[in-house]
Amino acid sequence: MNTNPSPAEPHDEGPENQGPDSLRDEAMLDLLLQEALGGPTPPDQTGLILRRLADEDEGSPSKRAGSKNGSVSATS
Amino acid sequence: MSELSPAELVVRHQDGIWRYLRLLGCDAATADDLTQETFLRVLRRDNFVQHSDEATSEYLRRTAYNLLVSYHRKFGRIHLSDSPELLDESWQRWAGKDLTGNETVEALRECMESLTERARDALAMRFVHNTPRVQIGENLGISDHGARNLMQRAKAQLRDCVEEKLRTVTQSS
Repeated sequence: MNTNPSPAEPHDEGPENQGPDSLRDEAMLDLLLQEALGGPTPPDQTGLILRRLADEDEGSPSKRAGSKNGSVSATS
Repeated sequence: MSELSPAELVVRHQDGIWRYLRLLGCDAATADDLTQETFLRVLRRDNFVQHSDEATSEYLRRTAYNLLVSYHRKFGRIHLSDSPELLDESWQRWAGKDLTGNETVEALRECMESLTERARDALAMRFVHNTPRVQIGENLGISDHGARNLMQRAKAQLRDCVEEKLRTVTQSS
């Protein structure tokens, strides 16, 4: 049993359940297919995440240095 | 199970979380950002426990999902129409084998070699370059209906091939 706290709840009610299973399946296959054909692939962000974690521990103002959109970390 | 260090945890799960966010509709840059935020959020928790690889993967996906919902609400963008439970069914089918999707992408690359060059070109135009179907047909000298059929057949062939490869991997492991 997972005893971890509820993961970062969104600020409002959750989205409604809808959409056929086949469409989700198709979307997942399309996404992986895009990668296999040379589209965007997941980057290795290990160093960046650990650096940001260390910076936050030290209270450094460079928290969001790695953010590409510069907007995400403000959502918490 | 022995707990992974923060670095090991990121290495183990970052590809899966990034792909999950892409499945939820994120562009690559937003998936990059939210992948970072997901790990930061989880690793900052003093009471985060790694019960198992699968449980950690699921917990990270839920965190990523909820961060994206908050992100969409904050910036008034599209909302997610599927619950994480429904998304997980497709996720498990295609990426559940290794919890990242890496094996499936590799299998797709191998299966791609069995397609005709024409079919590969059509799929690359569609999925990498976002070329409209009419244009794909024109580039290949066929109708847009013909282009659609060509891509549908190619995808069906790839789906069968990948499912077979993943079944083989599961049986031999």
